[in-house]
Amino acid sequence: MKRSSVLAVLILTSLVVGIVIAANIHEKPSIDVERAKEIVRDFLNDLEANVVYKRSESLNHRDYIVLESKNAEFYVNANTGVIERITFKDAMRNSSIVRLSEDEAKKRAEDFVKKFGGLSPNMKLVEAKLLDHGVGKEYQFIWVETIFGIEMPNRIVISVNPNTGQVMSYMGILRQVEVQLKPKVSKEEAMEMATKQFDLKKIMHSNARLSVEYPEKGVQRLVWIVEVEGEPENGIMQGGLVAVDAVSGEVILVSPYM
Amino acid sequence: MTMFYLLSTLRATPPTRTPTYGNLLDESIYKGVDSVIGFYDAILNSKGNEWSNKFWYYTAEKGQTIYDAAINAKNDVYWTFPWGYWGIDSIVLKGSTSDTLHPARYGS
Repeated sequence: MKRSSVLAVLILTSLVVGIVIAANIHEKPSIDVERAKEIVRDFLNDLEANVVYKRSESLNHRDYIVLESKNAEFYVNANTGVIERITFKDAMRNSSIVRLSEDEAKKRAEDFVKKFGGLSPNMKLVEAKLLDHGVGKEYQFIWVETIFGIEMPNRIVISVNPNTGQVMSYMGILRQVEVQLKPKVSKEEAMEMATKQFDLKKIMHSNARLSVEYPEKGVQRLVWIVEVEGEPENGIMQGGLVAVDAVSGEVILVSPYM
Repeated sequence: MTMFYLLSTLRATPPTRTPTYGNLLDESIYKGVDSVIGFYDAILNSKGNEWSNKFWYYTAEKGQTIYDAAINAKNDVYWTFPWGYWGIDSIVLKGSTSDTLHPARYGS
């Protein structure tokens, strides 16, 4: 193939990809409530299940149709029809006693994820811990997809009842990355910008990581998530989190510790 | 019913136990508060506000129990910008948490 033809194909491919990406960002909900109910019934494997519409929610990363059935709440992605979150209300009961080991609970979580296609190869377990909420406990597992050290929007969060082994809640997000993964702002520059946002007498600890985030509705950005911890004053934490756009250098969010 | 929730970080060992205030959660129950909510870890202003808004929405508007509303609000926080709990998952509840809260009405 001639060089000019290759170039033309590349340009055409870029245009098509660009159009698809633009369409993804601005697409309107394509799943109606009745279709969302069918999706939940399919998941429950019960075509007669009574599924009730609760509400619609609009989040930066997607719109959802929220439905309830069999005392569980389902968040159906209004664009793709994928169930991206479930809360099993009954499974939240009787969670004060710990009968399962962390490994047993993790196995339950991984088995549950298989219903949604399982973990992708780049997903890493970034958190596994037993949370004690005083009147109840939960094992919490978080997997995040990481590419070139950058956290993708793709992640799974699952809570397992440490007593019964039931999955208490599931959250699974899979998104195409729509931004370049090349930061123009260095880690050091981001940390310097973040530190300036707080009046700290002494910095005790700071770190920064790159993440693909949705700071605004439907818009992905490559962001430095910087945490700066200063020396406590009168027992009160100082510092907080600063989000810096890794391409433009704009400080998107300053959120101090409370 | 009285309810007290602590939306601040007092990092000590454990964080809610300070020489000045004692264990705020247990102390509050001892002082007669029916239900108390606090956080063991450092939490961020943005995530704390998000949790608070969702908690009141679930319990006062949707009629969920204090425990269910608190945990559902905790789960909501994860997928708002930026991704993550940022300490909100360290939530601790004491006292009566199976009750629902009803917004106070003028004159009642």
